[in-house]
Amino acid sequence: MSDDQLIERTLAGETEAFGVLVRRWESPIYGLSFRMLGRDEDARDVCQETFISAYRNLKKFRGDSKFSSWLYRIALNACHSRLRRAETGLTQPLENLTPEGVAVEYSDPAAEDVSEKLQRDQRATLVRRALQALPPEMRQVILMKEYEDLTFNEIAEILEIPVSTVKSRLYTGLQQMRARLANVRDAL
Amino acid sequence: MNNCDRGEDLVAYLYKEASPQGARDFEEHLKACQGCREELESLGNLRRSLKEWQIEAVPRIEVSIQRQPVEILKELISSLPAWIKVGGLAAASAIVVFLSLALSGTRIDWREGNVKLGISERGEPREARILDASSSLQLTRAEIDTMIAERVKAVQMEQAHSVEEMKSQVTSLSQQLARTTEAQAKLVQSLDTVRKEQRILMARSQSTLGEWLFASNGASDQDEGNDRKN
Repeated sequence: MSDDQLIERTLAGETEAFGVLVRRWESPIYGLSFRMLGRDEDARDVCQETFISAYRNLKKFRGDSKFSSWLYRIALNACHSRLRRAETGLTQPLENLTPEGVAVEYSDPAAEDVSEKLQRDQRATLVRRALQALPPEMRQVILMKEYEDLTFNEIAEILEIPVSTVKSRLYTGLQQMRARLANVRDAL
Repeated sequence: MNNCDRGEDLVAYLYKEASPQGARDFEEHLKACQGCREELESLGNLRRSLKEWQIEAVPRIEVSIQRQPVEILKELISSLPAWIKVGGLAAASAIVVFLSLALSGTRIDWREGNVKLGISERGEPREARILDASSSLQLTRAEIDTMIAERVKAVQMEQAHSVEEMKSQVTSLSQQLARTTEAQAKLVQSLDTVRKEQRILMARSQSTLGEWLFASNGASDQDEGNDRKN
C-alpha cells in the first residue's frame, strides 16, 4: 500500500494505518536524526516528535511533495531546534578531538580481524566527528545524499532551496570534511 | 585545492546525476583539467570513507498517538445519521436566532397560541424600571401589607390547588393499581386452569397409548400362536 493510501486511511480514522507509515519510515528518520545530532536519545526523541507532529498535521499535508520529503523536513526542523538549544559540544573543532570511543557495532565481530575492526571503528569515529564539526546546513546535505541516497531534486524539495544551492553546499561541505580529516590524520 | 569553477558539475558527475549531455561535457573537460581529475578522485575516496559510518541497529520507535477531543467529536458527528445532523443543525440555528432576537431587545409574546413580535426601544424598559422603583417608594405601609396578604393568599390557593391535583392523581393511580392486581389474579387463575387441563390431557393420552400398545402386543402374540399351529 502506498504512503498516500495509508494517509487517506489515517485521515479516515484508521490509526493503525499511521502505524504502518511509522514502521516504514522510522529507520531513515532515525538515521538522519542520529547522524545530525550524534546521540541516540536525541535521535529517538526527534523521531517521536516527527511522527507525532506529522500525525497532528496530516490534514495540512497536501500531497504536493512526497510524504517522505515532508517527514524529513519535520525531522530536520526538530534537529535544528535541538542544535540551537544545545550548541556546545557538537561544533567544536575536530583538531581538538581524538578518535576515542566506538560508534559503530558490526553485525559479526567474531568474523573480523580485531585490528581491522579497530581501524574501521577508528575511521568511522573520525568521519562522525568530521561530519559533526561541519555547519548544520552542509552536514544535512551530505547526510541526505550519502546515507539516505536522496537525489538533488529531493534534497532541494525538502530544504526548499534551489538545486544549484544543494550542489554548492554539498561540494563545499565535502571539501571542508576532507580538509578536517586530512588535518587529523596528519596529527595522528 | 581545485581552482576550477565547475564544482557543481563535478558534484553532479560524482553522484551520477549529471544529464547524459552534461556528463559528456564534463568528461571532455576532465581530459583537459588536471585539477578536476584530482578533485574527482579525492572526493571519491572521501565518499568511501563516509561509508565507514554505518548504523546497524535502528531502535523501534514507539509513537503513542493521543487523539484530540475535537477529532473524536468530529468522528462521532460524521458517524451520525443525516437526519440527526439536519435536526441538530436546525436546533442550533433556532437557538442562534432566539439568542440574536433576545440580545437585540426583541419581545416575543406567546399567549393562547398567538405569537407577537415587537422591538422595544432600549431606553424604554430602563425608564419604566426607574418609574416603577420611584412609585414603589411612595407606597404606604398599609398598601404594602395588602400586597403581601394578596400574594400570600395567591400562593396558598396555588398550593391548595396543587394538593387537590396530587390527591386526584393518587386516587387515579390507586384505582389503576387495583384493576391491574385484579387482572393479574384472573390471569393466574386461568393459567392454573390451563395447567390442570393440560395434565388431564396428558394422563388421557398416556392411558390411550398404553391401551393401544397392549392391544397391538396381544394381537401379535395371537398371530404368532396361529403361525405355530400352522
